[in-house]
Amino acid sequence: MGRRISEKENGTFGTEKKVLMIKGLDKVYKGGVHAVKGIDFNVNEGEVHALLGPNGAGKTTTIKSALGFIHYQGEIKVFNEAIDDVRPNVAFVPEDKSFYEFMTPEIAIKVCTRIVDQFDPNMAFDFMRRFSLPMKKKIKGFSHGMKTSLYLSLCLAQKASLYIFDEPTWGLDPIRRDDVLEIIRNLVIDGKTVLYTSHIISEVEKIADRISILFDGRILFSGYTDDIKANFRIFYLPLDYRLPDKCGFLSSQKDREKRVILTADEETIRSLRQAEQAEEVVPNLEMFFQTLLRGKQYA
Amino acid sequence: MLKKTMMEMQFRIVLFVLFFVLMLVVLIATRPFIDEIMAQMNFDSEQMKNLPDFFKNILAETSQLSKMVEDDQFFLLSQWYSKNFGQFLPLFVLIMVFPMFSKEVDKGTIFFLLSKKNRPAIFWGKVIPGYMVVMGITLFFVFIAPIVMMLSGYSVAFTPQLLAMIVQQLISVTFFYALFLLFSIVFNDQIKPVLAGILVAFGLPFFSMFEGTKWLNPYPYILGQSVVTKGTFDGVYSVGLLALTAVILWLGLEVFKKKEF
Repeated sequence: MGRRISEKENGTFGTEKKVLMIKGLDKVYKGGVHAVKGIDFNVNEGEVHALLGPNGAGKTTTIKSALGFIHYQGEIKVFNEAIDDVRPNVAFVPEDKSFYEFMTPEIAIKVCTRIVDQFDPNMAFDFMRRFSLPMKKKIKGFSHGMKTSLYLSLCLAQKASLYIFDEPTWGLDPIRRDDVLEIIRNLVIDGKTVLYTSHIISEVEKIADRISILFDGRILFSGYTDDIKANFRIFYLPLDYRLPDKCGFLSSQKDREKRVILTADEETIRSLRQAEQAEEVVPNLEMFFQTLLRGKQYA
Repeated sequence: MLKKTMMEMQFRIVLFVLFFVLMLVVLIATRPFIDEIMAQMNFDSEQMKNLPDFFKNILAETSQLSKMVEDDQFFLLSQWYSKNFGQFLPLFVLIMVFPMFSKEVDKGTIFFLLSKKNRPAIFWGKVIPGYMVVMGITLFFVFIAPIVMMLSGYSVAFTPQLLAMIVQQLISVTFFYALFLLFSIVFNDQIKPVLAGILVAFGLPFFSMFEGTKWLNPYPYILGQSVVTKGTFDGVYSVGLLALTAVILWLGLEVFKKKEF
């Protein structure tokens, strides 16, 4: 989690190597649903980049596009190449952790050894033991959590450089979830890169270096998690409070009792601090996410 | 991928092997009693004339029926290749092939493959082992029937006529494999490829009803009509069917390469 600071210190901040580059990504499904509307973002080498957003925001569509599962408009490069040229270097855990139910974990490892490039069977055994998976039981009889653990074990045993996780802790108990988060964090320490989606914001806050918040197919915010606390403020203001003319904010909403403003604009922060009955809060990621999203939903 | 394919097809392989073995055993076991069976079905020429056409077809020509009593080779050709085993070939291929891609999509396991391999590699990685399994079973049963009959003391030989029949059935299996594979790729659930396959398997004979579309019905070729009646290999139809198989296979690959998941 201290990685970005060291990059700042050694002067490489802002010049990171782009592992995943998405430019002008636009996707309209056959039924006419405009899932992603021309988004741009990069995932830099050695970071955990979390994609956040409500259901239908376009997270899975973005990942599917990056992996070449669907057609899209725009440009996507993985390690500066087309995905098909670097596939062995990319490991993926999908939202739906379905694996071949007629197999046992033991057989799954044997099959993966033949099918998956750069797959380490010993590593897969180690992860499965760590997750206490029954090696000779058919996957058909596994719980959701066990299926997730199995998929994660097989994915983590692939010696890739970019790991893409779509809801990787789905169905896991809190202890196992923390184990997985630690494993994902260790990937980055070992020099790997992680793109990650989750609905659980507290989880993201624990491990993400950078986040991109998607809403209605657009990116509302993309930046470092540390910057949120450092730069952003939430102001709770009286409903009848008249905002200054030159007020810069990321999100504004009114609830029954208060007007809520999310801003990083220094002039606006200074101005709002003068307001009567104004309450200033340093947001954590959960508050930031909620305020940003509610501001857009009710805009 | 061969091991994975074998595991996926395991149940169906066992089912069909048992079914074909049972069919072969029953066929050979009834061979000594064929004259008695014929006697029970003894229609004289006047009775035969009055029978409806479809029933005549089922019974075949009386001359052929009597030939079956005397000629072991003819019995094998007409009863194993043209009837029992031959008639089940399209259904056998359909059951073996329909889940090949559609099940992966239906169950969500396709994402595992798509994230590990490029699409042409996935396509050939599934198509080749699947074909090896289907072809392996077919080859076993087209060759084992004459061998078992020989060992049982019947005068059967691998004549050019028999080999022509075998080649026609192998080409037919290849054609249906490609066709049903295409259905498995096009559809995203497991019901539609089966329904489409059944529609084709049962629908194709209807083309025989019209003179101009007779050639569209492949069953006379699959069941080796020209081999049994004239003793000739249908070369033109074989080349046509192989060319069509290549086109369908190419189409399947292109559809799979462009499909969204």
